[in-house]
Amino acid sequence: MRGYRIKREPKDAIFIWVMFAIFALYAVALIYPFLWCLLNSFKEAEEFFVNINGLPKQWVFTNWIESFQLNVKGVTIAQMYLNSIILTVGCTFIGMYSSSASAYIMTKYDFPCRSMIYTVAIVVMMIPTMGSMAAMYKLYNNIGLINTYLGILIISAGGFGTTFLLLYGYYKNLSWVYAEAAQIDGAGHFRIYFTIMLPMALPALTAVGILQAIGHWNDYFTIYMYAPEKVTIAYGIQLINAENSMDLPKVFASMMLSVLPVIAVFAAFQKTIMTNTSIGGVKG
Amino acid sequence: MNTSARKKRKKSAAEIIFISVMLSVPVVHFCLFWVYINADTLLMSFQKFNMDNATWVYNGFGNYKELWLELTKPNSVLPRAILNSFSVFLWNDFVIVPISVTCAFALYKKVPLGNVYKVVFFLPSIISATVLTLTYSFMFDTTLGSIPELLRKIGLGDIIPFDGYFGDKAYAWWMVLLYGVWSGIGYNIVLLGGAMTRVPEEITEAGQLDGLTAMKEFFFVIVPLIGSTIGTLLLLGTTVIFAYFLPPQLLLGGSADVVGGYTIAMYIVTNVRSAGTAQMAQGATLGVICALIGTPLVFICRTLIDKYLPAYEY
Repeated sequence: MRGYRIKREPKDAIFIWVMFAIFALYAVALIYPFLWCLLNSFKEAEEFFVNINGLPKQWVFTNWIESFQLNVKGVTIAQMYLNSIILTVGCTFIGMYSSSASAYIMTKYDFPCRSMIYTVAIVVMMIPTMGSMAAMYKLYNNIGLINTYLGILIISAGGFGTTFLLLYGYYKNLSWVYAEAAQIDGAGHFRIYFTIMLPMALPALTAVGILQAIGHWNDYFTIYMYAPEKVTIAYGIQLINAENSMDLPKVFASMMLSVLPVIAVFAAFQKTIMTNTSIGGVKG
Repeated sequence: MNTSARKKRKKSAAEIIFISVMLSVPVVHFCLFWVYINADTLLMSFQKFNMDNATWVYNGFGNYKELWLELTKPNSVLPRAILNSFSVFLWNDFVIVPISVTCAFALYKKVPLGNVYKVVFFLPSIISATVLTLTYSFMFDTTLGSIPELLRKIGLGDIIPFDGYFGDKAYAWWMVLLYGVWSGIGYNIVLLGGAMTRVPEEITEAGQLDGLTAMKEFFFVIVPLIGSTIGTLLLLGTTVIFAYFLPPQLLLGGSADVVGGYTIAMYIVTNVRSAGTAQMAQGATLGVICALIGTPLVFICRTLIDKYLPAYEY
């Protein structure tokens, strides 16, 4: 069947080419704003205001270096980068550990309340709890976790979100044969998990971890709500733009700097990221 | 026998310890950040902050009454916030999702350069909302932006609003909705495209040999078979009603209430974060009402989706 070439109807061909044209326009609409910012990041501030849409008459690379000196309330871009790295690595690691542990236990062990926990994990995801941030803010304020790394790291330690669901599906299909063999050889539960099952689940953990890391790198809301003094690059760019509107080329350079790590990760793991999104991944 | 039973007991104890250790972090986190936090939210909705001795005291239905007065007073931002929040749901389910399904189908039908487009369309999903909103707003900036510039060049400069697209009541909210299309359909396309590629080729090829046109294939084969994925995207539209915060916050900022760009989530966040301790109860109260309305709404939508867009195994 696959060997036959099925001829396209003229109407179908028209549809394809119309969509091709629409896609081309949409692609330009997506790429052009970034290209515009990138090109303008190579202009002097004076040139930018008289030559907004043209190519730089003189390519100035110092904006990219000098953008590191831009700061918000004394926090420089370099410090924002450091905050982003600490929180991205920490939150991703903690979140993955917690979700992997819960997904593994829920799929491989039988215990009372197992199905209830699973049902609760699914149901609570559908209940809108936006208003709970008042109690959350109150709790964090009372126990001194506002504006701390620890406070943000603790938030990410939840083990029953979308990451749990993705890993649940993976662990469910992961063979238990090796674990049984290890059990016969006298291996304990911790040893089986850490030395056999986790390495076997590494492809899934890596894929989900990349998506999680991108999400944490880009996270604006958590920092805005609970740690505005621990300015990360995703949060800080907005403030930098608000405070440096007369030196926009440097703002553009800092914007481009903020997306470079994510673009690099995407370029390196594009297939993994897109495949996992297409099977139900989480939004970054 | 005794040894065997002891061994069994020992094994069970080790298993119990392992399960307990492994589940401790997720379960404690859930109990603290979901059960306790939501219980306290409910409690806060019946409390007010006493400024004299800095304690929370019982306030009966006072917060609910105040919220009603806030909703019904002249020039209140709440009616518009509610309207905007529900419009996000309609926009997502009746504009963004249908556009995404159509685009994903075109990619599935092998539009030239389809793989390149897929990568380009996915880019907004990995770039931070801050950078996305900044680039988007620069494009529409009346002084710097390329779109007003283009409009001026083709003689349509008169239609550019004096206060800018984000400062004019007639345009501001539409700009937020347009941003949703610009930044949101790429992710949907990849998700839906993935579902479409899992539809067995045998089904579509057999139909094509029988003269199935692309349109019929779309409506009678593809859409029903990927119904559960479409349903998931439609359901996401329901859940964002009460959580739509970042786009209006980043695009309209402090002037959101003036230009009619306020949402329920913005009202809650503003009360919690900016308006001080006394106002936090107001945010919690609105949150409780949202949960009371939202929870049955989400479950009704889930039921309807399961009924009309069931998941097929193939």
